[in-house]
Amino acid sequence: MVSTSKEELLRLEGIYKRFGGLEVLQDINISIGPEEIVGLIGPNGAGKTTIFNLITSFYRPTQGSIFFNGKNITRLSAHKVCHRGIARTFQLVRTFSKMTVMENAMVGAVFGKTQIGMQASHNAAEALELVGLANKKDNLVAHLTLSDRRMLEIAMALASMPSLILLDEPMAGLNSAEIGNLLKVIEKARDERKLSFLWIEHKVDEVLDFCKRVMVLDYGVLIADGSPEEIANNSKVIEAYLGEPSA
Amino acid sequence: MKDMKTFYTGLVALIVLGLIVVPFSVNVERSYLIYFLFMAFIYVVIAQGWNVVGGYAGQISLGQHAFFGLGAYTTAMFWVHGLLGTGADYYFNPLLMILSGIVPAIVAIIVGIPLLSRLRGDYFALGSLGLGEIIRVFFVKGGDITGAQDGLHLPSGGYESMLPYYFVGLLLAVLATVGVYFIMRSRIGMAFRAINEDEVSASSHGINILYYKILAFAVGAFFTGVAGSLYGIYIFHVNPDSVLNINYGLYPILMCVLGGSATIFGPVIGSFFMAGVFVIAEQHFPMIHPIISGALIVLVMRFMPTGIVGLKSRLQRD
Repeated sequence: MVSTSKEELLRLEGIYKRFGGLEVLQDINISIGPEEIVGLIGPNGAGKTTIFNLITSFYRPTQGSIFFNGKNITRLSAHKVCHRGIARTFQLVRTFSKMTVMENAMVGAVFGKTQIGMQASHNAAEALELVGLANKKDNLVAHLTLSDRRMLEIAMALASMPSLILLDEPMAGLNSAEIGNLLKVIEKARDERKLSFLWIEHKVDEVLDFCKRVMVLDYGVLIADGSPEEIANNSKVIEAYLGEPSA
Repeated sequence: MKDMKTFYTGLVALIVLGLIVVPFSVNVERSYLIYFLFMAFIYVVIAQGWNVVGGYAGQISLGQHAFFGLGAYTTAMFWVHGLLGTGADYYFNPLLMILSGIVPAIVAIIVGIPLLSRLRGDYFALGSLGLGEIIRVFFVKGGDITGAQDGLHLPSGGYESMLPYYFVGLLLAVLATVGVYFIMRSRIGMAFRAINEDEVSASSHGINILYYKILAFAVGAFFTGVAGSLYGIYIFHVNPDSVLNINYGLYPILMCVLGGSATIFGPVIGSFFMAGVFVIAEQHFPMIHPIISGALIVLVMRFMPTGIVGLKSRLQRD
């Protein structure tokens, strides 16, 4: 499953994560290429967000290594991982609510790749434009809807000029119109910016429709990795979601 | 927005101008007003120091009195031991006053690395409180170098007038406020606010949280140390009870919170307000004045949770 081609952005190699006696992840091997949108699905507690927290260095793996652009990033601190070009969003949105929309985007732009002055405000404005929040740039984030905050979080990620964005359940709590809007923004971001996405989602149908490649995590083990068709017909996946067939 | 900004700039300029004129309309050497304003200026500087670290960066330091004392002691030790050379003029020496800010800032960096990397929130607050005690013991046990419990007596022969104290105090208060304004408009200020709101999010957006926390701690220590230096020059007798008094750790918090922390003018308003409260309570209720001051603080917090500065926006909303 581990590819060694040069066309590789992110690689997780034999990752294990234990919290005390609880084995959360076992031997996870993942490889993501440039301009790929990869869905990561699995039942509650499968360890999806833990994978994100390992990639972004909020946790250290018990065992295994993480490579980004061919360089080992396993032991970097969280802010340095961001400087290398990995941005993320959070399951429970973590925008800065006492700041304006523009200031939030500026945080992403200024500290992401440590740019100053005009370039940073240009990147921030462009990111807001891309997600459609340009007209709300002076609003206080505390007054935004959930959907706008999720968009803003994506804009903050985009403003840091990353090459990979980790999305942690960006659709949670959104209605179908807002979801449609979100999918458009993600596609646009990939096409305009040549970005890759690793995308955790609970809404399996949307992921299978949208992503060309999907991975399934169950109880800390990666049980499938392939096209949506392969995933939909994989007996292990069906078992994980629907339970074992009755004898 | 633009009009409001010009209005406030004008108002501030007018107030500062008024404060410059005050000494020429009263008998400086006898006026209580001059002393009152001088103390208020010192409060403004230490309140702005806490405003940076506690208000904007959200690191609740209870140990600012350590930096105040350290600033006063730096001035006193350099002066008494003649460390700037024998011919040097130590009275209001700007170099010495800046140095008295740098020493606490360096201590803040050294102490901040273990304190801020390991302790968060309440635990950092308690850790910083411990810092104040450690510094106090250090000076009490310092022997001849620190003058032990009796402290250091500065040569007071140079004293001629209250006027230089007043103007240096005013200058420092203005510089501290302008300094905070520019820090908060810069990327450093942006990092402070982000860390205050959400450390996890801040670090995921590329902000080195430890670096900026220590920077905030050091900037706050610098302000407080310079204020301590001025106060030391004023009292001419630097000892643990006078300059390492925990009041200098608690007053700035009170003043920031009352005036409105994490705002530019909140700490200024809070400083003048508290200085006024202290005076009134002391005059009219000499024995129980801390009770009166305390009760007033409770009342203000009950009815103005966002501070005096926050009152305006609260009234507009209602």
